[in-house]
Amino acid sequence: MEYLLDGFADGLMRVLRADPQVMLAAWVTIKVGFWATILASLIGLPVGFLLAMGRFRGRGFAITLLQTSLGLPTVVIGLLAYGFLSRRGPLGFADLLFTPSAIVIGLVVLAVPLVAVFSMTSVASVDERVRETALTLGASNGLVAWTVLREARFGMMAAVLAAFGRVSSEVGIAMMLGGNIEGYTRTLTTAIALESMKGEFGFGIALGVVLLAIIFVTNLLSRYIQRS
Amino acid sequence: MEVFFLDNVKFRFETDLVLDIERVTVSSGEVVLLTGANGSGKTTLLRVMAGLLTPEGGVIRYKGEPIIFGKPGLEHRRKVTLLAQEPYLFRGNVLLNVSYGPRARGMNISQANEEAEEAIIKTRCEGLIHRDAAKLSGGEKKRVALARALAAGAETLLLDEPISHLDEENSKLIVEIIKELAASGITLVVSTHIPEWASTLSVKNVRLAYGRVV
Repeated sequence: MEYLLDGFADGLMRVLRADPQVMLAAWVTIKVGFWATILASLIGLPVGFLLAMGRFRGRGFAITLLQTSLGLPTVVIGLLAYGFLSRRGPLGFADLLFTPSAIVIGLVVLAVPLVAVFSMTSVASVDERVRETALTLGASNGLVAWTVLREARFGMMAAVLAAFGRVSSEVGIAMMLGGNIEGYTRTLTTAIALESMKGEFGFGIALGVVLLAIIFVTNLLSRYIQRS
Repeated sequence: MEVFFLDNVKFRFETDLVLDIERVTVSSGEVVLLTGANGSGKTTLLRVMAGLLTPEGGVIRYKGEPIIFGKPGLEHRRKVTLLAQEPYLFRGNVLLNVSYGPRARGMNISQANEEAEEAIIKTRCEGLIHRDAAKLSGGEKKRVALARALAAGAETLLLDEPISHLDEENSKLIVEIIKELAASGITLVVSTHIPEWASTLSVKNVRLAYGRVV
């Protein structure tokens, strides 16, 4: 028990004095999380919107595929991306393995289905009268689509924030594609895994506290957006 | 001049024939009252006339031209605006809602706001202009939706049960506004199950029952 309490105390002290190693891992986490969320949103939001609004052949299959990929284990994504990015893989020429960019690529694969499914749900739940009101007020097809999008914007923002929360707390992809290089690809989650195994429980706690703080703030923002 | 001409217009919801109109005509500047019990087909007829529902058959013309239904019928939708029985107000304030139609027609923001403000005055919504649309009462929402329909600049307004579920004060206000619109010469097709309010207006009555004109 004493071991745990000492760990918590040590962790809190490290957070309070802004331990450089903790802050560096936090910075890498936020950086890769930010870019992965941006890229995943650029792909996932239009996909979600099209699936909610469009009526085309294969739509049902595409939705099922996306929903299934929500449950993809992160190590499987990491493994596949590793295969593509390794020297012998089709993208090996880009020499991205064990760089922050490699982590971003893996996280994008993880986050796209999440953003797409959440945004699809939010667009599909927009009141049917929105479309009809826009039509009868003389809106063009483009403006009708924009109006629906505008009505769903809070749900879509919540989808983006949920994706950020998810990629920030991910460990398998960051470990496999980033290689856990200190100050470069070491994220909060991979640092926790490493430090705990080394017996540095306090350090692990400090990293965990910062990670939880990031996710907590993200969820607060998400809740605020949904309530407004 | 004849604006609407409907002949042998039919509409089905799945397999049920809910509209079977032999002949209905509406002339320019006319006020047509669509009456009938709930479920008699008033709303469906108005939605067909607005170009929002595609009928299964028959002839339906606006100013001599066949109506194009659905999304491709932009030209018709800019001439004829429907005020739904339970109108939806977009997120944002009243001015943003009322200026939607003018903006949809390509006006810049200041022109659109001017148009909107004019409609807001006509519908006695001046005090609501910067209010959040989501926080309005039922009567206020209806007046704002009417202002929005007016600002859209349509030649013909289709009003679906404009005074249903309203308190006495709001009903009186809406009736007053409709009478002013009628006097201004705009073509109005108004559905109602309480036609007494229109007793002082010169109107043409079209009574519906089970989707047919009776």
